[in-house]
Amino acid sequence: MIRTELVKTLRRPRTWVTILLLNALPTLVAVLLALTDLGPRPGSGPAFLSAVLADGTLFPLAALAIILPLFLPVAVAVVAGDSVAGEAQQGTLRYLLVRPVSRTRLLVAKLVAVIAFVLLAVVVVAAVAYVVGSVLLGDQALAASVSGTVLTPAQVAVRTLLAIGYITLSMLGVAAIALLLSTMTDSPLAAALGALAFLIASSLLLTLDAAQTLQPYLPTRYWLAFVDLFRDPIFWRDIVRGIGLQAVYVVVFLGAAWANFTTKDITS
Amino acid sequence: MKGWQRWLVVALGVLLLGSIPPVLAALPATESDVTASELLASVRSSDEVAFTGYAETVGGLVLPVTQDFTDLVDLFGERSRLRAWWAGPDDWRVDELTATGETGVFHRSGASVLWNYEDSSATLAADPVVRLPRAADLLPSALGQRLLSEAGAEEVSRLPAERIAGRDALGLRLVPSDERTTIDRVDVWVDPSTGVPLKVEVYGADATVAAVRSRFLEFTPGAPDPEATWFVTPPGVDLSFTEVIDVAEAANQFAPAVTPDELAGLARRSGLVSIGSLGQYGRGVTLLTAAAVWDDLSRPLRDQLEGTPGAVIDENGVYVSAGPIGLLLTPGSRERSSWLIAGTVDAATLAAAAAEVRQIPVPDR
Amino acid sequence: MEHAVEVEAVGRTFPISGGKQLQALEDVSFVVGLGEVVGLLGVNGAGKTTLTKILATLLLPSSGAARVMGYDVVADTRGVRTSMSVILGGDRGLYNRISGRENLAFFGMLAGVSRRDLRERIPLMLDQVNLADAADRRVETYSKGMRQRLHVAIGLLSRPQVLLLDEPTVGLDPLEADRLRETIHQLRREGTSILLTSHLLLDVERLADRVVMLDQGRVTADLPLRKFAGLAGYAAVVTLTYRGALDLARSLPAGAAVDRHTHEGELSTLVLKLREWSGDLFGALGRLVDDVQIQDIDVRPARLEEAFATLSARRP
Ligand SMILES: Nc1ncnc2c1ncn2[C@@H]1O[C@H](COP(=O)(O)OP(=O)(O)O)[C@@H](O)[C@H]1O
Ligand SMILES: [Mg+2]
Repeated sequence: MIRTELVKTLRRPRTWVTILLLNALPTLVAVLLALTDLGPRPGSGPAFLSAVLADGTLFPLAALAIILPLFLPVAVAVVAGDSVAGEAQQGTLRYLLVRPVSRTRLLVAKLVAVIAFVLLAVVVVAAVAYVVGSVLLGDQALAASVSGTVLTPAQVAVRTLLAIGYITLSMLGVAAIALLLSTMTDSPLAAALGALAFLIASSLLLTLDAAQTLQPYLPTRYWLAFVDLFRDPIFWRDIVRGIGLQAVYVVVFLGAAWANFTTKDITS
Repeated sequence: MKGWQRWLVVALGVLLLGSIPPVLAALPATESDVTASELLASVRSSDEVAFTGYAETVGGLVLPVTQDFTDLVDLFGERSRLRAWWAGPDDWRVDELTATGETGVFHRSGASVLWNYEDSSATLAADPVVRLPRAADLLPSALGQRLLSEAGAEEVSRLPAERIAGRDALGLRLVPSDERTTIDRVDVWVDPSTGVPLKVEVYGADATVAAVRSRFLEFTPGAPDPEATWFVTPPGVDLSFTEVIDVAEAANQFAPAVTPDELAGLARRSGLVSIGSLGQYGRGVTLLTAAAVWDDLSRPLRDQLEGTPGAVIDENGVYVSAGPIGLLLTPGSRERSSWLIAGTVDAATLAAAAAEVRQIPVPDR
Repeated sequence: MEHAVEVEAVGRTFPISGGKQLQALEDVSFVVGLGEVVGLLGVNGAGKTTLTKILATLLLPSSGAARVMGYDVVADTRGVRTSMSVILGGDRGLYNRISGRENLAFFGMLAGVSRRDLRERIPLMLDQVNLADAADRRVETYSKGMRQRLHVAIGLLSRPQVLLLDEPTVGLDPLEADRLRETIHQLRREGTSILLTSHLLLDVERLADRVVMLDQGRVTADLPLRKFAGLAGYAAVVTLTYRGALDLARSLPAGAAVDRHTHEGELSTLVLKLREWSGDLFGALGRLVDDVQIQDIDVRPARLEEAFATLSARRP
């Protein structure tokens, strides 16, 4: 089941078009940076964007920071929102569900496929950004950590891989929400928009002091914590919490999807 | 399993997960029968204690100043996240974390390196005689030690213990006896084994929300890795040197007039400024600062203060308060410098101070 | 286990607007024997699809129980799904962006068919449903009939013991429909138990051993095919328009009954119902009209609605 879902994801043209689009903005930014040599004002632009002017090998991180707040979650919401509702709309859902595969496993397989998509997208974006960054912006033997200490290329590489893993896990919550909505409607668009509405609300509440008590529970709360991987020593607190929070989202929303979906009438 | 049974399982799971944080928070803290003055004494002797920690501070003050004071505005108006490596008063590092970067202070033997990631700058500066407060000053340990440093035994009482950073912290309340202060009370929770303040809350008069709140979320006693507090200039960054780190020091160094030994009945604080042009007065949490400032600094500040809602303008100048902090700027002109007076004292004390300093002759340009 | 499908007092309601419940199935009971082909007949909205979906584990029954190859459709969904394939009408439900062959492989994999068996069976299935030439084209280029046949191939790939077919010929042109019937016929010879749903008498007549009639969610008849045909009372309707005089009382052949006889000026219209569709009867009819001048003659097979009307009329 998981294998067939992975194959399906990889074979869909949409997967690759989405990944291509995700690469477009960071690449454009790299070109502009190379041409103008103008970094963002401190505190205003995405993380690492000023640092890449000095060291192009940090550009994968800047690229991830560029797509993290909006483009990546939109892609995740669309893909995850489509996962069940899309099958229902296409009429394939009922043919999947009359096969000897439990609906619970179908849900898990769908989530795994979405996460595989995210990982693929993030890895491709990072790889493209590495090439683009080194070619256009040049590289340096040693980089400065966010805390002002020196990082060797090996350390940068390891921490970049950790960041890729963390960002991928950060998308679990959105994916689980979109998946739940996807089991509740036959419209992939509605599911994706619902998940996005949740995210926008979450981002908005994060800026609101009055919502302080809610903030530790918001799915976007710890997204930017991947920056903490580049502090020295690594600041694990928010990263651990971010992973835990995503796990809670998966348990709760995948659980709700399971409760809703496993006994649901398939009428479409 | 029936549909409703599945929903029940999910609902129970949500309840269980959702109740973990409140249950952890509600874990009772172990009390101790240490008296208030014993606790106060242990705080005062705690500045040599080494630790590593992570703290968050929240300021509830909207300071009506910008331009040269933006850091100050952020410090008292926003939430800061601080990581600290503390080997002792003369060997420490405090990093302020921001979403996309970091500013750090590496302090060794009377000098600091100020690191700013997003500017990619490192600046070495000797410790100035006076300077504006910075993030490291709001670390609960530093803030608590400073606020309690001059408290009298009769001003403190015990509060119930709380769990802070996973430790049982004993509560101590300071209610200043000086009538002139705008500080209503300072609540401090102290780590009983080291005496280090773990949480500090400062309340202005009649305030329900703390003007400043700072607490450790992680705290580990013991010496930090010596490497952690040592700054090595990273490649591509030039270490620069500065004589003047902020406007307070500038005011002190370049002020046009010298301040008196006593102001509004408050004595000059010794040991801080010997013959300063910037004067600090008062004791404990009843503090007053005065400095003569040139027109190029005072003019934009005056415009801003006068435009602040609630600003009072009279013959002494313009007066504005933000929580427990009061600010007064006396009249001045292009030729004549003015006086900036600020502190945690009430309006009457500020006005009295203003009346006094205006008698001091200041040179014309 | 003597039965491939057992339906016991199954009921199903749907919530509809206004908090009311729509009774789509009520107390439905019947069986499909091993190797038997049962036609489930009923007008649109009778509840055929609902019943098929319950047997396919897509819907839960509100009351009663149903088993497929002995497995309960609520408790043993895995057993049901392993032993059964369902082909729901319509041409949706395929992955359009990939080829027919890939669709087969994908659904085969889900059905638990091993890779080796897949390699072996897919070409056979494609041959059987006459899609070998189009197998490597994307499904979005297929005609309606081709998609329907691909569904059949997918359904048969796992060699199910029970096949549920819901209106398999709907929307197909007559030629395609016939080809599909031929495929089903072949399965029947191979001993697959089939529940075939249709509102077309022709499907049932050609393929079924037995007929179960559903009307507004209730079983109104459960009969061998022969008896069912008899129940309708007639197999064809003949409408004659003629000039002249007919002596019906004397020369009406056995097996024909007068439904209507009207006169309008010189023209008369006679509607006859024929009990069976046979050469003898048509011969006798020919002799009957020898003496008159035929203006128009129209012969058509009995429609299902007419059989329903007869059945409904007899219902207490
Ligand atoms: N999901 C549903 N919600 C509400 N009513 C439904 C649903 N599915 C079917 N029905 C109703 O149940 C009855 C039987 O429908 P169906 O089984 O599709 O009939 P058939 O297949 O015989 O045409 C119809 O009145 C139909 O409107
Ligand atoms: Mg139907």
